[in-house]
Amino acid sequence: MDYFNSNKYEREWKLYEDFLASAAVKLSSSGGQSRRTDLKLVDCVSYRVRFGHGLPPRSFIRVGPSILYTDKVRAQDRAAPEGETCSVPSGFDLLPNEVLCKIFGWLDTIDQLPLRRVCKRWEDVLRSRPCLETISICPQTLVAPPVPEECLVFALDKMVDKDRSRVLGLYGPRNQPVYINCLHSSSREEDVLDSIADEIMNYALGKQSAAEQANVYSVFTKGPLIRQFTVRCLHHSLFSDIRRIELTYGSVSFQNLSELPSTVNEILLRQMDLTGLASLTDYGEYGFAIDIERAAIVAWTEDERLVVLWRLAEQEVKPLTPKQLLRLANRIQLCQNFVLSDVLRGVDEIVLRREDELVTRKGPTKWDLATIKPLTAVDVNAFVRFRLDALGILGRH
Amino acid sequence: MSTAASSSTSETIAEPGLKIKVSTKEGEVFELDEKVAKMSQVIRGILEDLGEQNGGDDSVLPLTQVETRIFRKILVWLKYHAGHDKEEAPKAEEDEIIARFCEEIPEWDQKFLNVDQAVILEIMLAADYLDIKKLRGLCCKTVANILKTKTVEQIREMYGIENDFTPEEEEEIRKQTAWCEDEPPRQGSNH
Repeated sequence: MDYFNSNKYEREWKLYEDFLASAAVKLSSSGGQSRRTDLKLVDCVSYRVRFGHGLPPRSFIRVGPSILYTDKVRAQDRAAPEGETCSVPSGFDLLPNEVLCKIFGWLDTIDQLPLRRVCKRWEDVLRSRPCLETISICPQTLVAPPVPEECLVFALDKMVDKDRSRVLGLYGPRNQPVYINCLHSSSREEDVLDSIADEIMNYALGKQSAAEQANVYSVFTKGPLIRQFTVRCLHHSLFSDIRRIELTYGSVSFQNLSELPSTVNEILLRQMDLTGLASLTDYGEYGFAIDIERAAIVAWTEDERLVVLWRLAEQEVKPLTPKQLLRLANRIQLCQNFVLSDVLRGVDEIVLRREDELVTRKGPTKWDLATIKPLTAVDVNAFVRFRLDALGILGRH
Repeated sequence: MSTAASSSTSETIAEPGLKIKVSTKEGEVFELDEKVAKMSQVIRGILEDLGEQNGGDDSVLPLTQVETRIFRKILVWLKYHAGHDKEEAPKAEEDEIIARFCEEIPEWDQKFLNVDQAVILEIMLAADYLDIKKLRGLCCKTVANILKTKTVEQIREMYGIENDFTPEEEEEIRKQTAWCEDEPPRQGSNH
């Protein structure tokens, strides 16, 4: 298996050296008297190496750059008793793996997968392609694979706009977003599969640039419920760095949240249906949650890991009513050990937004977050009440 | 500066400036403008390494693995692009440039590559050998587009690739990849 420690490798090196020697002789005997006679074929090779082409004997024998490919070598390679068969060299046989990779790089995974069946070499190359910067997960109804682990589901950020889609964005290493596409949630498997088929179609139609596609490992899979798959994906070593997750649309439950990898320390919820959280107030080891219909603040703590989730309704969702704000304030008391300032900043945001609509009212318009820290839960309640009072929008129900 | 070609099979290109002589596999000698020749990173590297001393000497750079008929083809491409391309941006962005260039293959290049499949592969191979990244990228994209539309069997036949899997191995891979082929996506039913 270990080619580079094998006899084959040594034998190929020998051939390689012989070949270089003979080529150099040929070159200097045909090159005339010019100063360039010292320019040996080796130089060409070294340039290639310098440019990062790399030249292990394997490439030399099997798929090496044409400069090294002689009939002699080819014949000997063919005569070699073991190792991969290399029949009549076709155009592709001559191409270095690197070039083959570049060809495949222009294909997205949907197109790449069947090509694995062409021959062993293609299979090798396709398997080894670096990939997996993007995955897709369907939260409730999604699929888990009878496929290899590297075949994770992918998604495109472009799909964010698709009304049936939900998007879960993950922020991976180097702060690059990793998008997880959450498909249509339905209890019927056929619906899910249809959705997946649609997504595949959309992807195949190529919404992304080819350059991006080259980095996207895109596999849709069928199988059991996605939740396990989700977790498996997220615990994949590739995502060991994930620290921030964004959820948009759809719903979430604490079960989902509890399955997130422990590296995640920030979760943003946007326009989520949080009824899964709403019915619960004390989530035990997961902490506590607050929700106000579609807009929500969630806070919980687990061991040293403190997570504060808050994302108040964004544009598309209507602003909170004062009553909702009050409920929010009341619920805040349920939270323990949450980052008060973060929550309050969220509250403040709403209040400030309301203020925009109520410019004529008089009252405090800025809340200095620095003063928040010593507040207790009760203080928070009072604070919110105070702010609302100041705006004159409370107590008129 | 320029020297008369010494080989009887040589082909000169009458342009001013430094000439670089290269020979193909068959030994045919071509004389190229420096600018054209330097589009090949390999030739450029060799020339740079030789420094200033290369002017006026009649030695020939052997491109032993490029056949004349392919080299002629590549020469057409090189000359066209030497004349039409903007100045190369810094190397760091090279990949990006190639990606952008290949994103939508220009019409001229499309026509250029409207040749037999085998020839494209040979051009690609030669472009890789000569390290002409743009041309290589172009060929890769073109081939990729073709692969996309073919079945595995068609690809094997087209390019003379031997199926070296055992039936069991092939079946295994087929299983792993089956879901994405041979199964037209079902029509969506939303309810």
